[in-house]
Amino acid sequence: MSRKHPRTAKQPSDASAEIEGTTTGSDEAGVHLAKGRYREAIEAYKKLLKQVRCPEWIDGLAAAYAGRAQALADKSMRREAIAIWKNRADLCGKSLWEGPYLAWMVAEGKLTDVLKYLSSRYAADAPPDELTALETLLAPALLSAEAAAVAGLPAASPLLRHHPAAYAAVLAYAQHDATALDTALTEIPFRSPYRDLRPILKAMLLLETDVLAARATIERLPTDGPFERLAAPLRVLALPPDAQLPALAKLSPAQQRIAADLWGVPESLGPLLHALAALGKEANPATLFDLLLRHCRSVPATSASRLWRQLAPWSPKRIGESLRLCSKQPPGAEACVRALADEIKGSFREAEHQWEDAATQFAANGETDGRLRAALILRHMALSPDHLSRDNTLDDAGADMLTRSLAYDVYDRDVHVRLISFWRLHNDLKKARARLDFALTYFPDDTAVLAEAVATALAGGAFKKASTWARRLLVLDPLNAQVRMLVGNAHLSHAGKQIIAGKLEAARDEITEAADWLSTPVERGRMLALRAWTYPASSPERQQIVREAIACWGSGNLAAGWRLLREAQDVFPRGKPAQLLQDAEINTTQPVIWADLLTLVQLFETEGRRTRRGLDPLSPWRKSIEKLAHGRAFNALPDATETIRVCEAFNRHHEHDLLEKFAEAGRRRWPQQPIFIYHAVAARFEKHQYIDSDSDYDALENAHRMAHQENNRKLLMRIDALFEADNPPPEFNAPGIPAALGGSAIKSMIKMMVSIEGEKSFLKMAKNALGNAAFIQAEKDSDGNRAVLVDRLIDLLAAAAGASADFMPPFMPPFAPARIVPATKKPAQKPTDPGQGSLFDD
Amino acid sequence: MTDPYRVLGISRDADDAAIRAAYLVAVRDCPPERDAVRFAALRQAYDALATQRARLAHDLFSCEAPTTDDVSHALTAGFSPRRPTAAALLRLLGGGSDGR
Repeated sequence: MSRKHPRTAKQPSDASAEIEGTTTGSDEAGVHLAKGRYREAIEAYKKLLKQVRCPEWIDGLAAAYAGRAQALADKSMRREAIAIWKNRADLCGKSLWEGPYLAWMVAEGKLTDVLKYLSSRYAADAPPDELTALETLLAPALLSAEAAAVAGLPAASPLLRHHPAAYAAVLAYAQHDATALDTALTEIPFRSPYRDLRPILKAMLLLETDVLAARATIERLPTDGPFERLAAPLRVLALPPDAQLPALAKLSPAQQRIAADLWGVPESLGPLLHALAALGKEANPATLFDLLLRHCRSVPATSASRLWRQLAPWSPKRIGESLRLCSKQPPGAEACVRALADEIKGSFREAEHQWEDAATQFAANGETDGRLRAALILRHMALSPDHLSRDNTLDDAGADMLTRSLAYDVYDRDVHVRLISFWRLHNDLKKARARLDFALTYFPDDTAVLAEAVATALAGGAFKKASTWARRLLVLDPLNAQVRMLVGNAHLSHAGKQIIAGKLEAARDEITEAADWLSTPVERGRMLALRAWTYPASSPERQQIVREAIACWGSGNLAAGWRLLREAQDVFPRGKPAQLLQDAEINTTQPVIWADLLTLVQLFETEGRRTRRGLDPLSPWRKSIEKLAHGRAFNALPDATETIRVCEAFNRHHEHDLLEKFAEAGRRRWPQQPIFIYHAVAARFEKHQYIDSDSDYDALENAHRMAHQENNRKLLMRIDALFEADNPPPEFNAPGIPAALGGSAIKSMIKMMVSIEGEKSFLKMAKNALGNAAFIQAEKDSDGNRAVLVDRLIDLLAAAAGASADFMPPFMPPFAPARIVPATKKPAQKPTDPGQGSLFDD
Repeated sequence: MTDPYRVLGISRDADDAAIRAAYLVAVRDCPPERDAVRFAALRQAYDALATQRARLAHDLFSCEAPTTDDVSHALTAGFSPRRPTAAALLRLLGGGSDGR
């Protein structure tokens, strides 16, 4: 078997190989050139030209040299660019003085060579366009050229003829000689190679007085003009402030020096500004502070202190060291910076110590500003999240800080108003009135203070005084809707009192007066309801007018009935809902359906909550509403949104029992919705003021996780607030009470005591132990029902015994001396005047 | 942070009247129907500086992070522009190693 020889490839002949090789080399050089790889293109063309001197390749090499030189010039490497351009002229036979070469030579200050070339062109009678272009290019450099060089120019050259005027203009500008400048500029003709100098010098002048005009002037100049080197710093300074710094960074050092002069900043600030520009717009404050500390010697004293105050809080660890940035700080400034640093971290309590320090130091300063600063700091602390709740309620410490702040500055109206409101809402009308009198000495004609005066007078039942304040306020502010409502409502409240006192004619007069102030349908309904109650029960007048009131309110049975009973609370706190509803022809026997409840919810959403006084406005429908939260009735509601609305409405009006039932129903039906868990736990929380079971705690934690996954920030905040407010009672170890006793054991013992001592005796003891306020609230909550009241008091006593080791429930006296909590002193009240006249009866 | 002094284009020692005047001029140039965002910024800046009490409070409690522009403005504000010397101008025009 013969062995086959492997087939060998046919070798190309030398000639064809040469042709193929050059073709490939030519393509390769072309590709390099097209892609801007000039160095590779130059090498490739040189290699090709060694073989055959083809004109096409010579042009390619020239293009590659031109590209390379331009790339170097763009990187400010003009000397290297000039050398490359010379190679281009030598190797490719191209003219040296074409293209950008002349401009580079001028920019590099090679004026002698350029002038020689210009002379040669004059001698050669070059076309006028070419000569004009050359002269224009040369003009800026010629201004700084030696006199001998300029004198060598032909006498007819505009470069020579206009040179003195242009030079004089530059000198006149620098020497602030306005007249000489004007003269010199007018001597530069429109067609002069120095013509661009005119708008530039004008813009430099305008920059001192009118930046916008300077910007308009400089923007008219093309950016590729021969004087652009001088125009560029001007363009930067004419930019909007935010754009200046990055543009400044792109200027050459010489241009930056001119810009700094025109700006007026010292030369020493240049490196700092340059470094600042390099950081970019998004630099974080710690980086900025670090940069300032590194350049602290060049930071001007005028801004050092301010910049330190603004930046130091962002680098708390460097506050001490950073004091070298500005050695002279007013007393208290360092404490302020440390307090701000704590606030940025969210440590408000730590911040408070620093603020206290700062306030003390400022106050000790004795200067007006120092005292005002101290006052502002105290107010800032008082209104911090530590002392001001989310619903804008101030705590006692916050009120104390505000009061202290008035010692340093009494001219802040808002502080007075806040303090009056604080004491009024805390039912300490004596202090509220004292604050009001103090505020009125400084702000006698201030509408906000007068509005507080009206509200305080109304809170104290001083209707005549309220009316006097209201009249004074309305003189100052006739359209004040708030005070119109206050006055109208005061009339209606007074009318209610007159009805209770049996002064029915006087009550009708009050209602007539109220009609002057109140005009909405809801308010008209209220007036009609009150007017109806000035007629005898079940009388045709009462029935007719109360039905008109219901017509004014215009909603369904449930909503209108709730409104009617709510109004009746003030007039008939122990009244019978059935009779009132019967007069209004409101039927309570029909079961509540979802449409009724949603109408009520809509009403709840618009009406504010009012503290219940005896009569429960929902009592006739409560059980029927509860049934909606069960089984098939609840499932009739198609989606969770409406149920959430129902829960929110009940929450708003503190209907915690109903809220709990609907929230639990929602939780069962839509377990993936954390809002129902929150509402269910919050409803139970409101009853005990702590989360009373581990399962609730776990469920709330789970709801927190779900809310976090949903990115539901509002719910997260609400759950956090609930956790924050949760203050479980300590372990039961009160002295004198066996530690083993639980809450239920205490309740059993109290109940036993009630059965032995009797309800009356228990109520007396409970009142002593809990205090008047808590007792009255419990009375209101029990809706006049004695059994409910006793149960409520037992709960409260058991809770108090559990919460405080010092608290002794009333059943303790047989075993240990009871500690009686002193009842709050009731403010002296004026005896009811049986002949009370009209509210505005002065 | 956008420095309210910078927004209104006023110096640190401007008084109530100067601040109000600057605000009114700025609002006239930029009414809300033309540029609502700029108008809101002007209003916010004016509220922060309108009274001596507000200015002190801003000075004491403002803890918004300053931007690079705020710092550069703080560094360069308060200087009076000055004219460069003829030599510096001619040197720049003559070109050379650090010119562009």
